[in-house]
Amino acid sequence: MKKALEVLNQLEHDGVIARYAIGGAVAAIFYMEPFATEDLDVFVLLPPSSRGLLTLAPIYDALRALGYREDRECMDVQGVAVQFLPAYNALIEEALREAAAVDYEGAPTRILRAEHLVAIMLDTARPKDRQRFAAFCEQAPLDNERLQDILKRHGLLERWRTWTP
Amino acid sequence: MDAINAANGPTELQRALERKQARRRLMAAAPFPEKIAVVVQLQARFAPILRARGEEYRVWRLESPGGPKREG
Repeated sequence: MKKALEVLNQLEHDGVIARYAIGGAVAAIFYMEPFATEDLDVFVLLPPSSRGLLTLAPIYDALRALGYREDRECMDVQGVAVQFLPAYNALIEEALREAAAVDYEGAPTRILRAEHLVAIMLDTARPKDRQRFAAFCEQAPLDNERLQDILKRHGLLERWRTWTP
Repeated sequence: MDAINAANGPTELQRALERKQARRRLMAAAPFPEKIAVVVQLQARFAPILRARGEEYRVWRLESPGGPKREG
């Protein structure tokens, strides 16, 4: 894991990625009890290409050049299945900008804040998000004022009310 | 029944639930690398079951020195 994070940091240092942060299940596990997951979801802000397109291709090309290979929808980076996800809406962009700096065995990295993870679960609203939501809200240290502000700004208060008893 | 339970204190079920809750809190507070190690243990446990059903399932191979990992 540490070595995979060092590779991500190198991609950011080299400008292949403008900024990255861990999201998804692994970010949730940072705040709650661990559970099984296959992928390390990494949200990325990409530098715009010369043609103004945002594409993950430069990340895949850079990793292939380092000898890493694709594994279905992921890249196998130092034994970890990493799925790169571009910041696809304003909520994810904000979550990436405000991600918490974390040290993983000497490797610096970033993890989405707990309040943003709740907002993303509400926004994505897949069955597994709903399943994870209750346990996450029970176990994760949430700043309620910050959470309510995020939910209000991103139009998620109504769903929050529906999902919380 | 409630009266009996109240008289005898917490039931065995209540105690089991409390132990489970305490374990969850303990795991939630564990250092992140320890939690990642648990994730990999869970992957290794689930993989043979899911593969037997014909599903693909990844198990992370963590921390070997040197360059990229390859299937050996």
